[in-house]
Amino acid sequence: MNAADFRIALVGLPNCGKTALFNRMTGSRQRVANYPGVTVERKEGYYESASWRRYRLLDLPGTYSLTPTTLDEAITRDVALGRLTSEPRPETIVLVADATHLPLSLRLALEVKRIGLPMIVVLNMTDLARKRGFTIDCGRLSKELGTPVIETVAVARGGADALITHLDSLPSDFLATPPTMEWREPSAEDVQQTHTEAARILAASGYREPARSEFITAADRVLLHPFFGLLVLGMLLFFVFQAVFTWAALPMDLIDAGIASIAEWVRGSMPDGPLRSLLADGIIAGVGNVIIFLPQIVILFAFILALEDSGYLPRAAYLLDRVMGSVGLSGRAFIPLLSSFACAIPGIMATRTIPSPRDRLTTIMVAPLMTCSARLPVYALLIAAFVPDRDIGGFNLQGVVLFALYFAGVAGALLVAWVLKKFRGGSDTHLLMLELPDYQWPRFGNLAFGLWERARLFLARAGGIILALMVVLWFISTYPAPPAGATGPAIEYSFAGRLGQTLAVVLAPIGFNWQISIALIPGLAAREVAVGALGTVYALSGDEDVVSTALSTVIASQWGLATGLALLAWYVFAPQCLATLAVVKRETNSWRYPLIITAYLFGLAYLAAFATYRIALWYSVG
Amino acid sequence: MVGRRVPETHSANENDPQLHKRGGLSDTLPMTDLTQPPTTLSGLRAGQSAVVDRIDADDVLARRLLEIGFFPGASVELVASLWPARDPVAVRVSGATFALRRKEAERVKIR
Repeated sequence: MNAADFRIALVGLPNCGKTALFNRMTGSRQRVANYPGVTVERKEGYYESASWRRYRLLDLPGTYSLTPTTLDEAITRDVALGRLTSEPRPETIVLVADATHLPLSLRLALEVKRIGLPMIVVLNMTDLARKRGFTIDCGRLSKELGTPVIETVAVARGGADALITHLDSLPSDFLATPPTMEWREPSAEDVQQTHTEAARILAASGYREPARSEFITAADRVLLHPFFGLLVLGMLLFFVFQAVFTWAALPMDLIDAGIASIAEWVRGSMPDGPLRSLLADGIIAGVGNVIIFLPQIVILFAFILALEDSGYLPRAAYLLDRVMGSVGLSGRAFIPLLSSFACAIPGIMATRTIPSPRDRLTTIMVAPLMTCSARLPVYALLIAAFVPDRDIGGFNLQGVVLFALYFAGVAGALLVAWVLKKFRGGSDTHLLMLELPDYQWPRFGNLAFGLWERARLFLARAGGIILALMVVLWFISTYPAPPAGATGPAIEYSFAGRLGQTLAVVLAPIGFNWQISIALIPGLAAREVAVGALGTVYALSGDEDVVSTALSTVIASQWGLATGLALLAWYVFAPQCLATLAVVKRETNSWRYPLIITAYLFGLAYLAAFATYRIALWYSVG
Repeated sequence: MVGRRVPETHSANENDPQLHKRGGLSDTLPMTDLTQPPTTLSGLRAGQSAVVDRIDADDVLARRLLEIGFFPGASVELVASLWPARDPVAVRVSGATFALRRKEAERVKIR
């Protein structure tokens, strides 16, 4: 950080468009890290104005007031008050007020103004508000508030220009004015008084409240309805899982064909030897079998991002609050848990918005049970191998099984949360108090950017950690070479083969053969690696004939149905992700919880796989 | 804004067979007495409006309710509530909609 930078902090209500404004002003010049010692995300960005002045923007967590109820809100207060030793106090505060939501925004502005820092009030989303009949006299508002008032449309190109020009027009010493420091926590009377004052200022500035959109009112009548709301939510989730299978089929076939032809080409154009084996059996069979799931992951994320953008997610949290409450979870746990369907890591980090530490811990404990996207390749492979692709009652059977697996994860999470509640007692004060923001059409640019990020991350993983693990796995599956006169496939004599056979002793009761046992080990680093590992193991142990057929066909012919189902059940619970455990360690700041999570998940996975295997065997025999 | 309430004419008419039916129900079931206007936010039905009277006590919960707009004199409208126990509820206040658990909604006294 340059000492001459102007330090600006963005403060505002949740969903006020603060982050959109931050992105608009700083573009890609952002740095995301954590505040030291706490797990609150710190977003900082820079921009340089036309007059060569450098600004450093800090995007503070959204809050309704300076009396915090969560870790995030406490950070906003502490940074604004200059209480953090690690964070120089901002020189000015840009208070982002949502024009469609002005009374609460102005109340916050009045509260923030009392801390004595120079402040600029930014009226955001004025375009949307005007369409609904919103009016205000900005000059008058500015006079009444005693701060500059600037209009922005953060989501539009050039929408922040007015603010940038204003900041630039300020004399250099304006921003450097040493603030007066007399602040006390607002009392209930203070809050009441700021409400009254905000109402007075609005009345004096000719404020007309934007009309509530008919569409939103009508949509909420259905979507928040005790019966139809839940029905729509259930149908929506079901549709998503159907789409993940049916829409992805074509692009997956194309990728599959592409990978197969590359492997063919490598085999045909290289002399037989270790290098050819490494390329074809290790890298192409391993990494290719993971990349093939990119379309499904993109589709799943497209739905999650669109739902997030639309404002529907908090409503889903509202609808499911009773269910969550009955097992001792806060309704607020819904959004972290839903994020965990994409990946448990952002999900666990999102638990910071849960006020009660106990509820937060319970949410962290069950988050790994939500079916993350890394499990999708495993499920997809096994379903393709063992579940017939046919319609039952108009639904794709494979999609139905996938939905059932996701449901099993959720049911497991509810069960574990319930046990934890019995075990430790739930907290007495579950806060829901969740804002249901206005619906918005998801913006295409936003969606495309989010999807690109996810796809890039997935491919980077496939090219990085997964590639590296595949090379290691290829090596230990190839060496030592079989002794002269050996009869079985070479891999059975390798390190991996022996290791797999040892592990298979423990895993045999749940129906796993030694090939699966090997694949589970690199799968600890990331679940989807197990699929690539199976690809490599079978590529190395089979003859040419096996190699050219799809992995799902190979395992369908080599495993019994009971084994396939048992492995599915295993993956519903198994804690096969070191990164998640590392995040749990960081978020809870102790080894205790990651260890408990590992133990209970392995226990559940073993039990579930055992039960599934035995029941399936019994059925197929009887 | 004038709040719509439960029609009070019902409680005046002792011979209303509808009322007896309802009264009988509320004897056996833990239901809100429909003959009395509700005294807290959680007593409102979907579509009904009222005015906030006060929030008792001053703890974290009360403070946050106050901050998000449930101050004395604010008008509130119940947008929706879930079966079976009207928990949670969705409430419109100060130009925003909030989901509240029943325990939270009960803290807001209305008139």
